[in-house]
Amino acid sequence: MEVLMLTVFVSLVLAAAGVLFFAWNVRERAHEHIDELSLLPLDAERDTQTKETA
Amino acid sequence: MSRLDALALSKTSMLSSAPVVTDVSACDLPLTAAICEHCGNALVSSASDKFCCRGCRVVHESILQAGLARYYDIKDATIVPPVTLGTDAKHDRNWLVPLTQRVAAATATIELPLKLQGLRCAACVWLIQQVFARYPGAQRISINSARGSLRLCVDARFPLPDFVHELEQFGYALGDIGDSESGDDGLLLRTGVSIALSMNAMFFAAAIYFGLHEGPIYKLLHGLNFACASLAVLVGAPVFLKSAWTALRKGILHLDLPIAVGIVLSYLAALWSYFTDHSAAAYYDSLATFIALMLLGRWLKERIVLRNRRELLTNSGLEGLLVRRVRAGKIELAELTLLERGDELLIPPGDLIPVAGVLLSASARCSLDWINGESDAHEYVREQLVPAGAFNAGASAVRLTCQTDFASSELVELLGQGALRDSADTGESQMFSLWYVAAVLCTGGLAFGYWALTTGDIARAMSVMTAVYVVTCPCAIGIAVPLAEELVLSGLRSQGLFVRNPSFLERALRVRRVVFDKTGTLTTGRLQLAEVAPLLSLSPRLRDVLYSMVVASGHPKSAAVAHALRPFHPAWAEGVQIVESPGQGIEAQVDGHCYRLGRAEWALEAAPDIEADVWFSCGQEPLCALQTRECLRDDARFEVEQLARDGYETFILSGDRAARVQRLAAELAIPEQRALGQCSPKDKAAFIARHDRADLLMIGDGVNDSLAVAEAFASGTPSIDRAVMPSRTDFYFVTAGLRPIRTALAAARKLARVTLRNRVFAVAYNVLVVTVALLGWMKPWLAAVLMPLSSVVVLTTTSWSLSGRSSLWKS
Repeated sequence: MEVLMLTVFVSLVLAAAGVLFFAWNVRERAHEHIDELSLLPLDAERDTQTKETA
Repeated sequence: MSRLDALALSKTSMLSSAPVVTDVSACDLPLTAAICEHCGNALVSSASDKFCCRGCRVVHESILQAGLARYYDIKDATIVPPVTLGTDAKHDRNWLVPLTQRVAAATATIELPLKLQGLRCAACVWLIQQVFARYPGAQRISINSARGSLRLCVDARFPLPDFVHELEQFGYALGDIGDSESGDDGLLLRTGVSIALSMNAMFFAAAIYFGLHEGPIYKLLHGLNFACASLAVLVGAPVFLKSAWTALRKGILHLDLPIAVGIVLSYLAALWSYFTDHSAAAYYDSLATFIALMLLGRWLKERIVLRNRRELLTNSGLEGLLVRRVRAGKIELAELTLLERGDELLIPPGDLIPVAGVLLSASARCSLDWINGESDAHEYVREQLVPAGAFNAGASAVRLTCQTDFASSELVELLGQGALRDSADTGESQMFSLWYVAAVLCTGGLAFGYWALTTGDIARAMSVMTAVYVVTCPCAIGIAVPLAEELVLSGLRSQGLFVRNPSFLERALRVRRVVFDKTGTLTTGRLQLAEVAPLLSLSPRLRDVLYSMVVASGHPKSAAVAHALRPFHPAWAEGVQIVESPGQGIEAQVDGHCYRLGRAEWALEAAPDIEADVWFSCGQEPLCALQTRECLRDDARFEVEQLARDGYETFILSGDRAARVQRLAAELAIPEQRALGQCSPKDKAAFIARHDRADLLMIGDGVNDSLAVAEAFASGTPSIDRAVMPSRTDFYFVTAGLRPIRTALAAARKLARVTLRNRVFAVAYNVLVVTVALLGWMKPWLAAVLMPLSSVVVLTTTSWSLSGRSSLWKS
């Protein structure tokens, strides 16, 4: 019983945290930067090339 | 001279192979599978070139030269607008002045929010990031493609005008952010929270569905399930309640009403179930899931239309534009609304003349195509009155004195009407909603009455009624219809057409007549030579002289001659000075001879015996006669023919001379009686009013079309660089050709077929589940399975029919 209560409590905390993070994301408009995020692999590639050149 | 202009002039060898469409028959050919290497628009089959226009070729070369070739790898198949070089492509830059001053005065890093037009894909983001990073003082850039905006973090070293100018050369346009950044993210937040609540409710309900019916854990999970449903109602219901109430007050019935009714009744039943401990009516998780799905559908529906609306700099009217006013010897920027009679204005090349004014400069060349559709620029001399709505088409700034204030300007009269049509669901959707609401309410009521009377068990009757209301909620329609619209709107975006008013797709079904404006809509607004044969009669030396004269002039007819001369590889003689006589032509002294290019009465000593609008002469003796004509859009004839073949009646309404309009109609195989010239804006609107039987689509680009557009049942525009029109039409398109119009009409038909199929499915599903509910067999767990299952089926079939793989986008 105690374990179940604890599990439910933790799941609720996680769900609340998820909702809060989502709200923060919407507020910061980070969710609309998909195109920028999709270019991040290119940055990583460029960094690798720079290191190889060096 | 800009870097690109210089590039365009210096690369004569590169440009020499550019296609010169001097034979109109070349415009009749259908499009091939080949696409422009820069913008991705389809090429005409006659073109052996890799680019659809000179602008695209120059920008392509510029991107390669700047070491940004990777842009094309990332861009893939995305269509971007073809690039226009010259005065047409110039954007209002007055907004830049205060921002530049702010940057120069900055003592630390500052943030500049800007609006950006022309963003299409990740490649655009990459290109802009790369360009930004090359400037001194550039700290950080954040690009929001959904909102069409960017934020620059820069210090005082950052040359903002250079950055803006360079992006404009690549086909982007920047502007002041204004209030366009203030969007409503509430719906997305509500959707996300509702999805989280519904998923948690489903988890809590799972244990109950699998046999947990008593004990403290059951009570805990039951309570949590109810709490999730209550929170979901609290978060999601106001969206539909508010909308349904507003629609009811206006006498409109749309899908929000059954959704709101479903939520309210289901929640009342849930309350009753929770507090009376009748778990048979406890559809908590179904209620939370239903709200989440409906919100998701609503968000999908609004997302892409909002994005299309935010795309353009010229979204709003003229009120936000600034103009240069001369006061006490100083130039200041003033809003158009603040202009008064007697104010002195300085109008740079390419800028709008917002009010009628008396010219103070010696001469001016102004384009009136925006206000009357005439393709030729007009010449004005000192003391003459220049009308409101003209654009400075000359190479230098002109000064004039306002004859009226802005409120009295003719432009305001033209723009006083024509707000976008109400985007509420119309016609068929309303009827379907009406019948749906009536059927659901009656069925639920009858079920309650039947069970209450036959069994005398009110609790049981409530349980059956709740089951009816829960399972009949229009999941299939509430989410599948928005998804179908989203897919169609996205597909049209990829084809270069941007719908701003979602109700257009429904209205497009009834369209049977398509009315085109001429200049700027069927034609590109530029001129070309009707025949190049007269140039063949010139010696290479004379062609060199002629070329050196025309490249130094900004007149559209000079540009047409220059374009036609390029295949002859003429040499450009540096130092040839031309003298421009307003309204007459251009003159140059070369090797002691006086060469003239212009009107016959000015260029020639004696009246000619053949008709031509441009004469090239030496010592007023004729060397050759040239005839210019308007340049049709590449696929104009093909598309007009296809529209006729598909059963649409096509018309031309133009403010230009009747003879020109008739000539163009003959080229496009449009019957003579359906092509009207010399139409004032009011004439156009009157014609639309007479002929529109709720089946007319008007396509226009100028402010002279704004009254007609307001009158028309549906409307579109290819004009994205000038204010007003995009904000008044149902859609705008950015392609070089007219093809997206036919695609939009076909897409509307396909959408209607998919919507009908979804409705049939929804009715069949509802008949089945209502029967089960009426018989008293419905259980909360069964509803929890059936509702999402029906949604998944209908969403999958909808996606399959309208996704990028659909033949609709490939035809």
